[in-house]
Amino acid sequence: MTQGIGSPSRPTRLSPMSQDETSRPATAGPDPRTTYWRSLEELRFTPQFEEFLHREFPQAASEFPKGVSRRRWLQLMGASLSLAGVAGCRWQEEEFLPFAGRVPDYIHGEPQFFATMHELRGFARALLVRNFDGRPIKVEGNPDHPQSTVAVDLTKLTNADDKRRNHGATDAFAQACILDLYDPDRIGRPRELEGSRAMDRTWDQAERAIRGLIDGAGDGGGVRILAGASSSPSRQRLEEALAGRFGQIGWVEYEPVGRQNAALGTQQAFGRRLRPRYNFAAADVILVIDGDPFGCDPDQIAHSRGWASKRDPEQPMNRLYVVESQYGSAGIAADHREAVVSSRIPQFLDELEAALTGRPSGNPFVNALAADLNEKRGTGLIYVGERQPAAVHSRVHRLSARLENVGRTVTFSEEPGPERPPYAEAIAQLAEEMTAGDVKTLVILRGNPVYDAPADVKFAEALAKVPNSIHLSEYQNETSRLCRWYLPATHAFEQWGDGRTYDGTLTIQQPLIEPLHGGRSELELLGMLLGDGPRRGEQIVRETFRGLGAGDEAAWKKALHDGFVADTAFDTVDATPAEAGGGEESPTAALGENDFEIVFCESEQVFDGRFANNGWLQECPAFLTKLAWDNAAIFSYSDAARLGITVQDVVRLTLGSASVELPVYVLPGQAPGSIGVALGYGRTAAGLVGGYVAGDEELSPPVGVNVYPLRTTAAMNFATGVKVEKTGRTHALPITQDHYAIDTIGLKEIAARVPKLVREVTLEQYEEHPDFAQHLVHHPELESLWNEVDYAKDDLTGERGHAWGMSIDLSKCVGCNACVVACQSENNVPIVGREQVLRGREMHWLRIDRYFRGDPEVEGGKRGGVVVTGQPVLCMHCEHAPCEQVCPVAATVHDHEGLNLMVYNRCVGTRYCNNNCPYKVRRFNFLNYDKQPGNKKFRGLTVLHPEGGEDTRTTVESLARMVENPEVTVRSRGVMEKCTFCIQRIQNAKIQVRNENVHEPDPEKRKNLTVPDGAIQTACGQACPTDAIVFGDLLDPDSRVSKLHYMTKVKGTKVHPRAYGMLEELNTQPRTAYLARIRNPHPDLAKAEAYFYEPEGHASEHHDTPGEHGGEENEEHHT
Amino acid sequence: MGRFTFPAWVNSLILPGLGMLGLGVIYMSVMIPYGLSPENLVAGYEPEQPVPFSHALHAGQMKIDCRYCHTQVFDSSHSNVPATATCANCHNAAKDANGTNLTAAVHTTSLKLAPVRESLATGKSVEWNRVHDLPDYAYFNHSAHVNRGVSCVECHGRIDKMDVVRRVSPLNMGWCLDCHRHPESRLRPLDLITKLDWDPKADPRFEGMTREDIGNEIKAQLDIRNLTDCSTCHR
Repeated sequence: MTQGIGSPSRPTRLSPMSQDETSRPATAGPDPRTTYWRSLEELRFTPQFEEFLHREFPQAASEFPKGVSRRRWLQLMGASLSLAGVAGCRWQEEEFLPFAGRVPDYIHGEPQFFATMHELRGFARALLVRNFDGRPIKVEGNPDHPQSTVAVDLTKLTNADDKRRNHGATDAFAQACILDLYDPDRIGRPRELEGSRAMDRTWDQAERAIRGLIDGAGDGGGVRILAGASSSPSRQRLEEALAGRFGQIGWVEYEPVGRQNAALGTQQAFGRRLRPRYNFAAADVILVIDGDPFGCDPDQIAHSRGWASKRDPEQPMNRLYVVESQYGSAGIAADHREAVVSSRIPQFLDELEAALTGRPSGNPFVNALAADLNEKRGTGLIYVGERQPAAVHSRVHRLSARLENVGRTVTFSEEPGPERPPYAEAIAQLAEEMTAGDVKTLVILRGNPVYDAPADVKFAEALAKVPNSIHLSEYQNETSRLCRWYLPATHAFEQWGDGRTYDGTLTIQQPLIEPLHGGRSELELLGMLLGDGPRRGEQIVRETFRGLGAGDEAAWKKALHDGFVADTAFDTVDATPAEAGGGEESPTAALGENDFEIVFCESEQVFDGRFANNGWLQECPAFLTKLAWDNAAIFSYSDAARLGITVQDVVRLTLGSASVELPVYVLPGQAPGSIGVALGYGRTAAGLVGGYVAGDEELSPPVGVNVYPLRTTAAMNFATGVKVEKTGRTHALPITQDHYAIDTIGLKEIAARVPKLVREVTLEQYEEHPDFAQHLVHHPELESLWNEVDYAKDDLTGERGHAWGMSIDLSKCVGCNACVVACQSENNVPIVGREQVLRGREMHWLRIDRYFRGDPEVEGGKRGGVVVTGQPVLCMHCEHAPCEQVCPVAATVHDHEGLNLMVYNRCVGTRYCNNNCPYKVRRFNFLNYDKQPGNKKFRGLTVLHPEGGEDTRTTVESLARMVENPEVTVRSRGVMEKCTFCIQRIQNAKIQVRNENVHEPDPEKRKNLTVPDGAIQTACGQACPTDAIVFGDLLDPDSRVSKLHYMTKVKGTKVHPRAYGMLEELNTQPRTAYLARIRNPHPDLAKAEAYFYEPEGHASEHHDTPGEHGGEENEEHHT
Repeated sequence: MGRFTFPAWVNSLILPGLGMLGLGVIYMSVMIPYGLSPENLVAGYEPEQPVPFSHALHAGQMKIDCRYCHTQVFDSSHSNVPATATCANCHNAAKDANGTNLTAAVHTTSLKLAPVRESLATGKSVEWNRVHDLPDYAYFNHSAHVNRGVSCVECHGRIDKMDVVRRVSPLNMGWCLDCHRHPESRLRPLDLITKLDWDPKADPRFEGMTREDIGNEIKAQLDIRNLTDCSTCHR
């Protein structure tokens, strides 16, 4: 099986790189050991990068999009102009459609919040969704849910303001799932295949047919139900009821990237299946083994919050060691990181265990780690990733027990639900039965096994042997195509349901909108199969609620309101390791010359493929690779050099008899010998966004390459023995990291400046010079050309005003991308598509820069290898904004609270502001991106309705637009845009305070117009799981942000020692402050790490020119 | 050659022609700005409504307060158009078992009220035509104004005298800014917000005070600020 991509006819920016070019000495590039760099291309200054630099804009940046010819485009433009002439004199006439009856508690035009949840691979995530006039538009985490409060000591939060600061955080998936709700590709009715003809059916017809099948099955002998993992008590109950009714009915669960190894590991270690729960907040030393505790983990929020709670250098800090084959979120956050191929983790554990018992290893990393773990008995934490087999989990649990960490930093609870076989085993057995013809009726609840089942299971062939197959799915995907019946499923926000979060808390799912396309939920379909009993989702969930003894009507109301039932988390159980059994060793052979290990990872964008049709996620650049709209084979630096391949070359990966062709991405810090590939790409029936191929016609080209063909039941997580061949072709990858490069001079300047943009030192250095961040940059006294504005007082009334500011703690950012997607959702940031990203036109208001430091050639147990630092960058809201001074039409101006505004209706699109912005945070609408759903290129249609007429076009466009936030202007072509500090939230909070206070009898209170701290959260800050982004009023001496900032606006606030402004020396006076990153290395390793350097301001005693040091302090500090 | 030359009498048309052209230019340069000015293009818009609801009758003669129907104007950015159920408080034919009217039962058979009865019966909306409409990039908030001493009448005019609602203000940005820069003459005490016929001169509470004096007093009391930042209305 070969999947080809990157035909030579595709446009490619970079040509393949020959061996001698790789070994070309670095000429113009920066020295990796002494400074930061953004990509290997920049570091090595490849010819491709040079070409990229010389073009002011990426290739074809000023040309028309490919899908529409120039001539057609002009015709369209002409047509819309003449139409505009006809309709332009008056505004569009609108109608009011008030309700017939009054709706209690509903205020038209004001948002409402409802608690609900969504579920990913069997773990619920509690959410709070904002509804605007009946339609959900924004997702937040449920702040009251234990998932959000676990690492926050609520007893310390006394007043309402403090509690308000406890925002519910989320991940990027939760933020983006709202987009799926309005996805036009979900439009569909029940469908039956008659031969090869697809016939539309009604739900009644479908129900009759399904009832007939079930009733005809007698004891359910030939009936199988294939479902994804779920934590829903209701589903559990219905499953049991089905088993009771039809004794022989088979129930199979499969998840492509499920979580079973942890439970199987406890089975080996403790003799029973348990669920480990990690308390990062209690840990002083943390070891993460080949996993992603802050990324794709069901308990990610609690992990992130717990870890971040000990990253303030002002208080005792934890120390994070990471061992992994490929960079994950923990590797980014690590104090020490070691790249080890996934299949050699047992050997690493051998080494560690030996070092713990007093036999030092040759690797200083292991020795330091062992010393720390031994010293911090009881407060050490070892987290092992799901990717590792059960045997490794088991060893780690035993190790934790020996280190006395069990019961302290890691606790165990019973794994709920019936004991199920491993997913791969389960689906293989089902496929066997199907092939043998034992299965007459197969009901598939969601999922997409035809696409994501292990390759050796040959699920599609087995499915062809099943006469009656029924697929309940949100999309008509690869599996639905082959099933006799397709039934549209409801979205998580359209259905009733229940579930349990990782800790076990019972969480309720309530619909926020009626099913848009008349779908049914999983529970409702199971109810239909059962025949009698309640059929509607609400009845089913309420019956379960009663059955659980969770309480009466009042308790139900409360659960519905809160979104969860308090104190329903699983009980902690005592876990003592059983006698060491056999089978814990997983022997691994060393990797040979052209013998690679391949590691299958869930994509941080599309997960296992289920989010492939979600444009927000597809377009969100992965933190490390900065790759959007594509996947790649991630190679280490040394392997790439040895094989003579470079980024964008297409290679063929062969494992056994299967092979796929993938473009190469060379990632510094990747373990040599290991190739990382992201699952979930190359979908052929995802939809307009993710790819749709019908027969020979490519209605929408697939995004990325499907690597599931390499994945077998024997090796679900990683496999060895992969052969790599060059194909000689290249494939253009949309990588956003080098966008906004300038030229050689500019590049050198950037290289010199980066250490001043991201300031980081070790804890020891910080304690020695706590104010180092303010002394890194020396500049002469800054004088302004303009009059300084005093924001402390309202210029008209003299009363206290506001001065909004933000603070971003670089010590806490783990690069999870939740902020990027949250911003996109809140601010109607358009999706531009792959082609436009290739041209550097991505529209994100918030990007996360990441810089490497260290020598990419250093590897394998030696220190000084690559380290990474991330930095979220958004509009700084400079008090002296360079953009404002060059705008010819005053479209970007300041308001009296210090916000740098962008007035869209004034903008004429000169783009001068973007040229003059030193932070490059402004984004230009090259096209009418928001009209894409109605664009002719898309034909305004879903791929499932390619022939629809004008009606379909209107429906699709208005459906896709329902996700837009009505409180933010939708920008059109030719307009510049940028971060507004979520001005809609600021304005609404201000209006609310005034509306409330104006009716106060006390005249002093009546005049108080200040917004309490914490009442305004920006979308990025609210989503942030580590609380790294803090927003507030710099004029309020008690606000959090005023204590975390380098600006002092009022008496009573002090400059935070770590705070600095980016490019402060330009006298832009950014309102966004960064807190320098402090790492906490082991003393033995500190000096060898690449991030260790003497910050300039202190290393070279003093520079010659006398002048300011960025702050009020004088030079006494460091003499 | 000769057939390409204009005859001599054409010369006599040149002067009048130029004159006409000049007049045309003058005419156009006056008429286009005049015709396109919001005062003429926008003000005076008076669409016909599905139900000929008369504000003059309800709010004017019967003195029903604005908030009886527009209940949420103090709480929301949007002043709600009432649900049909509000109309049904009076115009409802529902009777109890004895045949007694349950509500006021005014004009329960009127043809003009047919859309209201239909809406009540079917649960579908009455489709009212929108009279006051701002561009989508301008964010106006009703509650922020009525809670700060700006009466309905300042923008909507004497609705209580209109049989058919008409737009009296141009609602353009210059007009908004006039008031945002100098709100004094348009502020009034909060208890008089919906009193459209309030006459400060006849009000004994403010004897001897000019409209500006009253406005200034309210301005100081409520700490009204002149908000002329772009961000006040544009987001």
